[in-house]
Amino acid sequence: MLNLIRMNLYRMAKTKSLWIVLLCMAAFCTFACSMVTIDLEEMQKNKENNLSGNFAAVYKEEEEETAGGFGISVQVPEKEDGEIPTFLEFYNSDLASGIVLVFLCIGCVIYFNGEIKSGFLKNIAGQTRHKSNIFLSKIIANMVYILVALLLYGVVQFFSLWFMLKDKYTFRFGGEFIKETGVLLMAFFLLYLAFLGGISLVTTVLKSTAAGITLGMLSAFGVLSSFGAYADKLLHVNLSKYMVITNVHGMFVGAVRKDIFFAMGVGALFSVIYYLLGAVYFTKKDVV
Amino acid sequence: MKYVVDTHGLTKIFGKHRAVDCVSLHIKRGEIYGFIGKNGAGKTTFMKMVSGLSAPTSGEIALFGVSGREAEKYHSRIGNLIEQPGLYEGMSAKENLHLKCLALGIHEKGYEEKLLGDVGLRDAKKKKVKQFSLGMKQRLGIAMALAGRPDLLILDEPVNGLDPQGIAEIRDLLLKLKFEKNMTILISSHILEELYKVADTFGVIHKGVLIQELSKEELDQKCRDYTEIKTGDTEKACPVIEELGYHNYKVITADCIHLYDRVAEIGKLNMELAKQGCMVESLQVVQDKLEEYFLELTRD
Repeated sequence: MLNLIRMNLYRMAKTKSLWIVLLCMAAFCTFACSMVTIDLEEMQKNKENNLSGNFAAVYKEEEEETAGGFGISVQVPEKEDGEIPTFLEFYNSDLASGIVLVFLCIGCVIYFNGEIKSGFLKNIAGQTRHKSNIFLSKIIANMVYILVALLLYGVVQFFSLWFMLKDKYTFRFGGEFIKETGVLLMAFFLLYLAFLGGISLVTTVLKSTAAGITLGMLSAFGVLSSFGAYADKLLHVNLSKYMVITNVHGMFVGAVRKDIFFAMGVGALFSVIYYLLGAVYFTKKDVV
Repeated sequence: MKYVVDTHGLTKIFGKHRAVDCVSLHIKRGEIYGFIGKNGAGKTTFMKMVSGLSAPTSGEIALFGVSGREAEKYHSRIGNLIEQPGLYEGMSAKENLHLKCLALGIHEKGYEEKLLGDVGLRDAKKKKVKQFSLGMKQRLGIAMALAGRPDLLILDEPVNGLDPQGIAEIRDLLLKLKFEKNMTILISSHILEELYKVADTFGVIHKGVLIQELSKEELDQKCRDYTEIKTGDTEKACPVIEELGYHNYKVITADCIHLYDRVAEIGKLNMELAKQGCMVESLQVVQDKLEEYFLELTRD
């Protein structure tokens, strides 16, 4: 098992496309931060002109429009007193928007399908006692990729905002910060792991990069959430509450602890379910 | 333990198609087993089942003298190259091999270089696989199969795409593995003459059914080279042939004799027949009997 994990991590490190995905994500993060500074300047102007009430109304309107349709919207976390949000609030807002998930989804699909597409699986599947370990080792390597992506996004965002906002930037480092960041990272890590577990399972079963990326993108853009909401209305259930992507989008700034822990639970549960399904598939299915 | 691979009624069904139908095949330790069959005959499916890449629908596989679920443990002792080599195009030959070594837990220094040297790829170890020719990929596939020093090597069409020199090198490598490492090898190839040069036992599969399993000696008996003598008078020709010291011959028709002894001086034979008044219409060594024999066996 450890050998398979080593192999997967080595492949991950040697796969250029995965680095390119991370690089694009970092570039996007910098771009998003520059957009944030423009938004903040606008907010500041409105505040100075005593137009904060109007701005808030427009902002609220925009937010409602986004909530009704599909797509990803990375927004400046709203502060009632017009104060500039903290790093953690920016970070939380971006992770909940699903934009990091889009990049991770591309990387994950490329990575999972690479082994099947190249036929490399044939070289190791026969000599591996428990074929389910092949899937598990890939999931573990994917965990590392998620963690690296989450940390990279945080670091790039931190330095970009620090560079762009300079002295206006609020960053309170300390025990509370570490605790908050830890909880936040854990919640997003589990939710992302579950989401990508589902996407990698679809990719493995269909052996299609296109199918995996399309499904991942549509889900991150909220199409699945809409289906969930529709099913809720139609069947009078609360299905969307238990959907991974709904929980990702629901982890907005200021979400209560109870909701965060519920989201963690959903993430952990679906991660296990997807792993078990993948393990069964790998064990039962012939290697072609 | 006599057999490294011993299958009993091995069957694989895809939907309504019986890809492998009740195959009972036996591969002795240290031998090279040549697997012959047309495209779609069931060779690859059989090899996949033995390698552990595919589960049989029914039947049993005994590996290294052990059968049932216990036999699955021995899949780790089987190296395989089935169909096209599975390689990452964006990685170098050494990196691909390193991946396989990592998966098998091999951390020996210089091991990968040695394997690449064995298959003639030492100079191309840093080259990306996407720049490889078909033959080079095939060689790398063999190196991957050899990683982990397997006791049984399964090679499906390993000389596909190789140039004559490459084919000869792979042949030498297989013989070296057999004699020096006592490795058992199951190999399939469409190049029957090539297979004949290395294999000790042959299995002929047709439409999923193993129609014949025979040793090289038995095959030689059935399809050895012979000298075909076409003459108008076989009665006169036979004493001449005997006189020249050839006793292993057969009169096929009234005007045709097959001489199975090796004729060292074919000109002398022709001259002697002519001296005794036997009109020789043609005198030729027939060499493509293996192919003929195979075609005859697999004729629908």
